[in-house]
Amino acid sequence: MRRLILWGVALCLLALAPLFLRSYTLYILSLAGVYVIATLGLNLLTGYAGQLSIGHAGFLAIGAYTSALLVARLGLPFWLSIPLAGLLTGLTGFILLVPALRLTAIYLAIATLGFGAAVAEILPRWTALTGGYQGMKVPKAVLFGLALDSDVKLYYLTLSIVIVMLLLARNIVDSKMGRAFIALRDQERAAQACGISLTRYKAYAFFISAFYTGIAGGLYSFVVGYISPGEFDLAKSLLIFMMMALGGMASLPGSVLGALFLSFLPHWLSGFRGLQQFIYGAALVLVVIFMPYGFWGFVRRWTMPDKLERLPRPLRAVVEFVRG
Amino acid sequence: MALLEVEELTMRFGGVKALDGLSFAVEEGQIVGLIGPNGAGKTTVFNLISRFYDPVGGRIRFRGEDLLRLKPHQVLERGIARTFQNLGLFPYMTVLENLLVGRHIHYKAGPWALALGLGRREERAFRAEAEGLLDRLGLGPLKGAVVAFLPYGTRKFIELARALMTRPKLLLLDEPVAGMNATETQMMGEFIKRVRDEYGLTVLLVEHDMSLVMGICERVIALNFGRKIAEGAPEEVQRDPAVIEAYLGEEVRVA
Ligand SMILES: Nc1ncnc2c1ncn2[C@@H]1O[C@H](COP(=O)(O)OP(=O)(O)OP(=O)(O)O)[C@@H](O)[C@H]1O
Ligand SMILES: [Mg+2]
Repeated sequence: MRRLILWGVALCLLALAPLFLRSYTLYILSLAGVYVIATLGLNLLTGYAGQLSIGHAGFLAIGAYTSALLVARLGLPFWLSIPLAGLLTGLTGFILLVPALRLTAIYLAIATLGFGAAVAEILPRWTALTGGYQGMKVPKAVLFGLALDSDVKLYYLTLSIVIVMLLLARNIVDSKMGRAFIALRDQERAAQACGISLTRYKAYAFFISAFYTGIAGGLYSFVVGYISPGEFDLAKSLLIFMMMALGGMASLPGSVLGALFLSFLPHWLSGFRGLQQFIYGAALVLVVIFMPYGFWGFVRRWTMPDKLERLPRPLRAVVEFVRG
Repeated sequence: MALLEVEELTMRFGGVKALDGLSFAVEEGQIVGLIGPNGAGKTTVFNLISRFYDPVGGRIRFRGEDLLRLKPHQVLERGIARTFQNLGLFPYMTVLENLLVGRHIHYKAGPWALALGLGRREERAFRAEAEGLLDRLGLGPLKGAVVAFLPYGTRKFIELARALMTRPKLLLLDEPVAGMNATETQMMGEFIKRVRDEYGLTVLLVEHDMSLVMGICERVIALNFGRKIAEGAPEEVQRDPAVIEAYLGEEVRVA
């Protein structure tokens, strides 16, 4: 009950935010919302299912270009283009399933890195479709005759999609699917002995993760209004990874906090000329050292200390990945 | 036809011959003990039934079906559940969630339905069932506890409860009372017997604790160096010279 009230208050604040915030802040919030969705996708794959990926910018790019092209070239309505981008990107997730079934740990991470790099290489070369290095302008989103042409409208659009994606993620995590992910992550053999198919659930994890990131990409193209291949590089993959790790592995609220924090941090630091990179790096190190379970673990230390240990620590998780 | 038939099973790990032409059968409804000194190959038998490795040679049949054609997760679907020598619980899940994983294959809702939040009703039903089972074991108050922090003996009971949640026909228990004191051992023994009767199970259990083996097993198979050295009623096997020698050899080695 208390939780329900808490969420209600948060929702009201978010819904009323446009009354208090500048247009630019709303734009940053929308962008943060895009990253919340991508981080949720990565967390389902890496935090819950234990499959390390540092190539998610590839999925983000596929989602962004798919939805932009569906609207620009095929004239599809934008509201249809985003779920379609999610589905198509979800299918490309199966590409990574192939190495995931053969490789463990750090080797899978290298394969995902390769995937991200390959997408980043193909995009600018496929000029006929993508407009090459210059990138492409994305048509304005129009919802049933209403042009989503202001930061406020895009903010509400993003907010509603984020809420839907959060609810879906909650359902997945609380179902037998979420338990199967965790089971395979922590005790592969025991999970199989409980009837969980390794292939099937890895496939689900990659599809769902790529689907989420594809939705995020589709939304990204409309929020920003312009996409170019250079944005979807390794740095972006690492950004999404850090949002997940800082927020809290295997935690949905953590994904939200991590994505918000790293989306706003550069703006908070814009006053410190020349020192930005240093402070940014130092902030990350401090978070990892003092909040080993991520932001959400930090919050939980007071609210639910007994449940704290259920979150895998980012660093320990990485060590376990490396050891296989 | 026996429920489980193992024929000429051979397994090698590098230079080690873990199983060497092992044959035995388990009749439906019995509690059968698999004993032998450390390294005799007992866990390897279980791992082969679980399809974690392919044997070098031999056959395993369950209700007449060739198990070696199955993938690991399909073994459970056929009705074989197991526990692990070093515990196969999911440490970061609660007790209740661990038990629900045991129900995994019985859920009807598909992935899309689950994402949309449908199928809550069966979730609730299974939850109630898991709670009922925990209550029977006197573990009801622990249902929300994270497994990693529970005492070893308690976790052994939880793992058995999870195996029961799968509604198995055959239960493979790898050292169910290892690390337990005499009282817990007796409780476990009685519980195994009771669930066998109630659920109509067949049980194959590996155990070093002879009090449990003598107390609840109707038949015992003794292994040494991957070969069967004796089989029969518990008292017979215990008196068997080959068995005594195998265990004596071990004690000398350990000492
Ligand atoms: N995965 C494996 N890789 C290499 N060798 C193995 C593996 N599993 C078992 N062995 C070897 O096979 C032999 C039989 O091992 P197994 O675990 O089946 O014995 P056990 O009878 O269960 O012994 P214990 O009573 O100590 O549990 C041992 O020599 C063991 O070292
Ligand atoms: Mg063993």
